[in-house]
Formats: sequence, structure tokens, C-alpha cells
Amino acid sequence: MGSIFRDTFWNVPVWAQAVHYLLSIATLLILSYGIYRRVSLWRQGQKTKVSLPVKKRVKAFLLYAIAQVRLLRDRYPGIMHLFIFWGMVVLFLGTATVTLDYDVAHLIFRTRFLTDGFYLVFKLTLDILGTLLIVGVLLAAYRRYVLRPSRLDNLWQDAYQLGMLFAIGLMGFLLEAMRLAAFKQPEVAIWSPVGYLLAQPFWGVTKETIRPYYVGTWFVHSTMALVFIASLPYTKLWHIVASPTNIFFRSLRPAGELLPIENLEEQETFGVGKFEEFTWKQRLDFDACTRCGRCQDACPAWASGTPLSPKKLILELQQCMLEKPTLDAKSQKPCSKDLHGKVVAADELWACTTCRACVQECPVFIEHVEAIVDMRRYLTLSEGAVPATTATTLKQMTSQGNPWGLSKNDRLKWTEGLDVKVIAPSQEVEYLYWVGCSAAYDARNQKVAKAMVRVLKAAGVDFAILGNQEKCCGDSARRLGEEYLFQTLAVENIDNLKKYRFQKIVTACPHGYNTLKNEYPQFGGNYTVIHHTELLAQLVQEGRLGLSKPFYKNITYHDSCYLGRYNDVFQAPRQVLAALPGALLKEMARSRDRGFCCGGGGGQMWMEAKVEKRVNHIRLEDALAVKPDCVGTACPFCLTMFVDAAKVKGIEDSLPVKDVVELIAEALV
Amino acid sequence: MNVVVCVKQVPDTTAEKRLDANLRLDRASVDNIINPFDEYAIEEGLRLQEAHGGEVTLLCMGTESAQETLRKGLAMGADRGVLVTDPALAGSDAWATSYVLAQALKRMSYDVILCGMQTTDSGTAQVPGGVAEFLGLPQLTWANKVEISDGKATIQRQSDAGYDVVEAPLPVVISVIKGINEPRYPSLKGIMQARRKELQIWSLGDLGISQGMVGVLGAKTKVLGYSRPAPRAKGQLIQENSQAAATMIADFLAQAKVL
Repeated sequence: MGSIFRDTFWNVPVWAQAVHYLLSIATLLILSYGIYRRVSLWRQGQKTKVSLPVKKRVKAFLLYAIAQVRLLRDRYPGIMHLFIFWGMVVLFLGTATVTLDYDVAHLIFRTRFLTDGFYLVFKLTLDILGTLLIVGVLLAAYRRYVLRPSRLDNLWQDAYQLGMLFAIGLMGFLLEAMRLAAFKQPEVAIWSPVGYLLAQPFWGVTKETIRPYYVGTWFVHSTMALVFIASLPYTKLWHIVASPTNIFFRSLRPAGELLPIENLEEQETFGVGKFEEFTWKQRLDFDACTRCGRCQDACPAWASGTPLSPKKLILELQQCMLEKPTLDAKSQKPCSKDLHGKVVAADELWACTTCRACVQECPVFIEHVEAIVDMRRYLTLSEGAVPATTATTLKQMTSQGNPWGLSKNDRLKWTEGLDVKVIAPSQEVEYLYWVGCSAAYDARNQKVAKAMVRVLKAAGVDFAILGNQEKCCGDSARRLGEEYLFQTLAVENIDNLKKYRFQKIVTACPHGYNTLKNEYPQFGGNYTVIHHTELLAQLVQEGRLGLSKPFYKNITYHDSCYLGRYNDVFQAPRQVLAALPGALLKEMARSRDRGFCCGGGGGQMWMEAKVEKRVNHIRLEDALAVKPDCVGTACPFCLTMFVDAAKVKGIEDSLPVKDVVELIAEALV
Repeated sequence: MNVVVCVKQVPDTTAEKRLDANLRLDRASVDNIINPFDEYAIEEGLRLQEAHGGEVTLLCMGTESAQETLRKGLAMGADRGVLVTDPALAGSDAWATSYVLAQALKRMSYDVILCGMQTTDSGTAQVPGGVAEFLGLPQLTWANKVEISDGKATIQRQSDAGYDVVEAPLPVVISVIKGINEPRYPSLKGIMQARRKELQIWSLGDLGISQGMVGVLGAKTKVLGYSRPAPRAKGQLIQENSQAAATMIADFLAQAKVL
């Protein structure tokens, strides 16, 4: 044994040590019971498959649960949390090391390893991390109780959590200071700089005077630590377990893929009508929520004044799960309140634009959108309770294969006088241009289709369209919960596509793009799907487009949710715009994966927004803030929403809104 | 309180309609849908049922394919359907249709008979009145609001100037206009339940109607010829400054004797 070692239980009488060990056992029992109870709550959920590519999951776990990179997207709370997290982890490991050193090495094997140099470095590390913990807690308290950001709500648990961490940490330092003052070895004490500093006032005091204070503080400190551990599964501290677990089991499917309802016509119930119909993974989602409110800050529905807050929604569901928990993993304990109407209002569910900003921001990977669509499925498929205007839209998709209800025989009208090849079974083309309903029927978006044809021809691309056989891709229907209509449309489209030979599908609509690429494989439709901005970027790069005429100088690009956040296509449209002669790309404050929705997704395109401030008007303000000469879009819904907002503001003449391909077409030599 | 809703299968309103050699609508070459006005009648029937109880039965005269139309209505929530179909019915005019529906209704239980105000194919708006006459019932047409209480029906009848409030004792025939309600969206659950609901098929024989009364033979009207409506004249575009434009518009309205 070296000369420098930790004098564990210095001064602590044997009776106190005994009480401490007894309390430790009690703590472990209470902790285990709580964990078992809470995990049982997850296991009461419906079955769902979670793929287990362990390597991928572990990597993501290290990135998001340990390094917490998502938390750092928001700097202040991110750094604050990292301080607390690492402070706690290291202090916990420190305590564990001491336990090993004393209870195992010393008491059983009569040796010690926490000695000399190792001990000094150990002391220094703990001293620094302990300080970070205290600083983190103070930052958190300052933010929560002084800055009071609107996304936070304060419960007793928050105060309990921060108070405990602060008290335990501070008392740890006090104990250290008293120990240092009692032993008076400056050459050792210097390795605990903070403790040494705190020891200064007692430096002159004798060991004997310090003794009773030390024992008292130690007892309070150690008991509080045990209470802290025991309360883990009963308080917000549970996120220490639930959140990393949720991160580990997070969805690895493509972001834009909603799971199908299998054997739809044989089901008795559809979607989630009762709380018990959520899967175990969704229950884990609800349990993992820490009420941080990042989702709410990012939510366009919340910003526009609808009743939907993704945070509130998840917490309402969490509440539903936590009331009177049972231990039986098989019991399907019903929530005492009706899920629809009492726990979650239809207005909340229909307000979602499915923009996925909430999911993107969530540090613990909660899947809000999927839960919302599951509940919409119940409303639509079981109750037929869709918002008034969307009933018409869905009926028109059924009868005419397009949401506007314009004749299915008029799908080719936009091509009049254009000489566009309609695909024939006899010949293979490189690209099948999936026009989409907006570009085929909506007057403004028809111009996009025409520009698309002009550009593809100019670049000599071999392409054809599907003509009258093309039907609505079903994106809006699926996101409105109309899985039956979606599956019908998907199967019809896939059957039609089977008749033709093409290498790739290109589309200017991110909704069609996402659905064909990520959701049609569920029904046997496997295609290489690219977005027109990707094709344009490629054509620009290959020098196949002669661009000369400068039109607009300052262009701002609005990210489409289904292209960007859902499918990670951020760069292609920007490359295309950068290729325009004389163009300067001005980024909005919220862009790329933080881009703010136009308000048209998730079926909102077909609903009447009864809100104080429409989402598209908010987004227009974002664009105006960078003083652009033109707004570039890459989605028909975004285009419509922007044009509408500009009209209401009376600036449609001074602020052109154009699809990326229109800008290219205008610049063609 | 029992409600019977009369429904018809019509060609898709967006489809191009053709007449065959006998100047009758070519129903085979187009997609068929439920007459859109009838959806409002079904919805109103279901709302009456929700308020007063009883059964909602759908009654349709048409070809075999009209079963699809009835299933659509059953998916919305109606309890059962009756289809009157017979080859001899082909070519029936509004008079014959009213007669057949009335004969079928005599075999059914009803307090209220609901119809859409007209169909989108022939568009005569005569059948609700005809049915009421054959049954000797009061008729309340063009309703944009229906209330039933104390054994009588009170409606708001849409007119050019506003609406009239009209009432009649039950049983009664009511025709409803577009916009009286928002027809519900048929849920998948409803569609699947509709497949198992009762759908009776009656022939002319079942109703004791002789073939000479209906179809081409019994038609009181005859289509002599047809022409396309003249294309609408182009609107006049005024592109002047606001002062001049206002004057021109005022002159135009004065000429049309609107002002």
C-alpha cells in the first residue's frame, strides 16, 4: 500500500457505516422495483419489429446518448446538459471506483489500487468534473427560473432534480475540504484545487473540531445520494434510463416511410383508437420525453397558434401511460380517459403538417409524426371523421385520382402544344418523369412541368411521362390517415408502372418522390427515384445546360420538408441555384434541416387553416428578412403556399416565387 | 322514425357524356358515381336517424351496376338498400321513374322520404314531386334545412331572395339542395360493414308493375333531338386605370339593367 491513498470512511463511526450499507440495500430494492414497474409499462405495448444492426445502433448510441450531439444543436442547454451529464457520470464512476478500492480490494483482498499517482489524477479529475456539475446545475437553474424560455414548464421534479444534484455535489466538495483541512497535506491537497480552495477557511482548525461536522455532512451527503438513486424510476430522473434506451431502439427505417397496415381489409380496428393500441416502442417514446420543448419551438402548427404542441401531445400520452401502473407485462390496462376527445383532441391531430421538425430536433428520437398519423388513421378509417374539406379531397382522389377532382382524362392537358412523349410498352426510356397531380392540374404548377420539359429537352435527356395512367401518389391520403385509399392508389400505380421499361423515375414533387422512393417498396414497387433538383445538379455539373441570362441576383432557397428533412436532399437545389449566372444564394435564418415548413404538408394543403398567423405567412417573413429578389422552391405545395402568402401580402409582383427548374429554364441560352 | 332515401347512379360528372343511337344516355362507356345531390339526402337521413332513431333505407332504380351506388350509401351508414332493376325499365322518363319508386315505397315503411333536388344526368328535378303525387303525400322541395318535430316536418326552402319556411305533416317527401350539410366521409370500417348489409333486389314483377307502364313503352316524354349548348361568349376584359374601368363597369351594369 502506498503512502497516499483514500482514507475511505475516515472518521465515520462503525454504526454509521452499518446504517449506510443497510440504506444502500434498501435503495437497490426500491430502485429495482421502480425499474421493473416502469419497464413493464413499455412491455404492455403492442408488438413491433425493431431491427437490430447492433453496430449501427451502438454507433448512434455513442453519438446521440453519450456525445449528445443533438442536444448541442441548441448551444446553451446543450452545454449545460453536457456539464451535468459528464459531471454525474464521472462522479458516479468515481464513487464506483472508491467502492471497488475499499469494499472489494481493501476489505476482501487486503490491498488497494487507488493510491499514489493514480489517486492524485483521480482526485483532480473528480474535482474538475464536480465543478462542471455544479456549474451546469447553476446554468440550468438560471435558465429555468430566470430566463424562463417559453418552451419549458416547471414542475416540482425539475426543482428536485437540480436541488439534489446541487446539494449532493456541494456537500461532496465540503467533505473533501474538511478532509484536506484535517490532514493538512498541501502537496496532496493541491490535486483537488477546488476542494483545497474551500478548505482554506478551516485550515487552522484541528482534526478533532472538524470530526463531528464531517460525520454529520457525510451522513447527509451519502443518504441524499441514496435517495437520489432510489428516486430514479419515480421522477424525471428516469430519463437517465429511458432516453438513452429510446435512442438505442430508435427507428432506422427511412424517415419518410410510414409503416403500412397489413391485410387492411381483414382488420377489425384501424390505427390507434385506444391508448393500449400503441406499440411498446411508442410507449418508450412517451416515457423518454424530458419535457425539453425543442419540438414545440420548431413546430409550425404551434407557431401558427393551433392547439397542437408536439411536446404537450407526447406528455399527454405519457400521462395516460403513467397513471396507476401495473406490474403485469401482459395486462392491457386501459387509460381511464378516452384517448380521442379526452386525452388528445382531433384539432391537435389535424393541425400537424408532418414537417418532421419535431422529430429532427428531439434529442431522444421520439417519433411524434408516426404517433399522430396512427391516431389520424383511427379517425379516418374507423370513424370517417376527417376535416370537412379533406372529405371532398379524398373522395376526389378516389374518383378522379387527383385531389382537385378534375377529370382523370384531363391529366395530359398541360402538355398541349409541347410534344411530350407518353411512355409506350415497346420502348425503354432513361427517365420516367412522374409529373404529379399539382404539375398536371394546378395552373401555376403546370408552368413548372412545362419548364421541366424545356430543360430536359435542352439537355437532351431521354424521358417520357406516364400520361393518363398516372394517378395521385397517395402521399396526402396516407398522411391524412386514409391508408385504404393510399394502398389502393399505390397498388394501381405500381401495376401501371410494371407495364413499362425505364431506368429511373424523376419527379419535381418531393411528396411523390418520398412516397415512390420510400413507401412503394412496401407494395413491391422498387424504383430508383430522384428528385428533379438532383437531376438538374447532375446536368449542370456535366455542363449539359447552357446558362447565360442572369435574372435574379439575390435568391433565397426554401427547403421542402419532404425533400430536405425527410430525404436529406439539401445540397442539390443549392448547387443548381449557384450555377445560375450572377446569382447569390441568401440563406434564411431557418434553413436546411432546420427549414421551416410552408404549411402545406400532411394534408394541410386541403384544409382550411383557421389560425391567427398562417404557417406560409410566417415563412414568407423568414424569406423577406434576407431581402431576396426571388424565392426558389422545389416543391409544388411550397410554391403554392408561398405564392398565396405573397398575394395576401400584396407583394406577388415584386417577389417572384419560382421552382428551381423554372429559374433554370429562364436562364437557358 | 323511418327514413327512405331515393338515390340514383349517374355518370361521373367530369366524364364526357354521349347519347346512343336511340338518343339515350350511354351509361356503359363511362364511370358511374352516386348522384352527388343524393349524398346530401343520405347525410340528412342519417342525421335524422341520429336525432330520432329508426332505420335509414336506400331505394334505387337502375341497372345491376347500381348496387355499387347503394353500397356507397350503405358505407356512409344507411341500414339497408333496395334496388329495383329490370331490363324493361330502360328508357324510363321522370314520370315512369316516379311511378316505379312510388310503387316500391308502398311496400316499405317510411315517415320521411328524402331525395336529392335533382340528378346530374337528366337534371329534371321532377322525380321528388312525382313520387309525392303517386303516394298522395305532401312535398317539401329544395330544403336547405330540415327539422322534424311533433309529427311534422319544417324546412327552409331556398329561393332567389332568401328562404321560405314551409311545413307539412308526416309522412312527407323532402328534396334537399347541395350544401344543406357536409356529407360524411365513408370510413373503411363503414365500407366493410356495408358489404355485409342487406341489399334486396326487386323486379317489376315483384312490384306488380306491367312492362307497358315503364321504360320506353311507358314514357310520356320522347327525346326528339339534341344539340350542344353554344360555347359561352368570351368575357370582356377591361384593362383601364381604375377610374375609367369603374365608369365602364357602371355603364355595362346600367345597360344590363342591373343598376
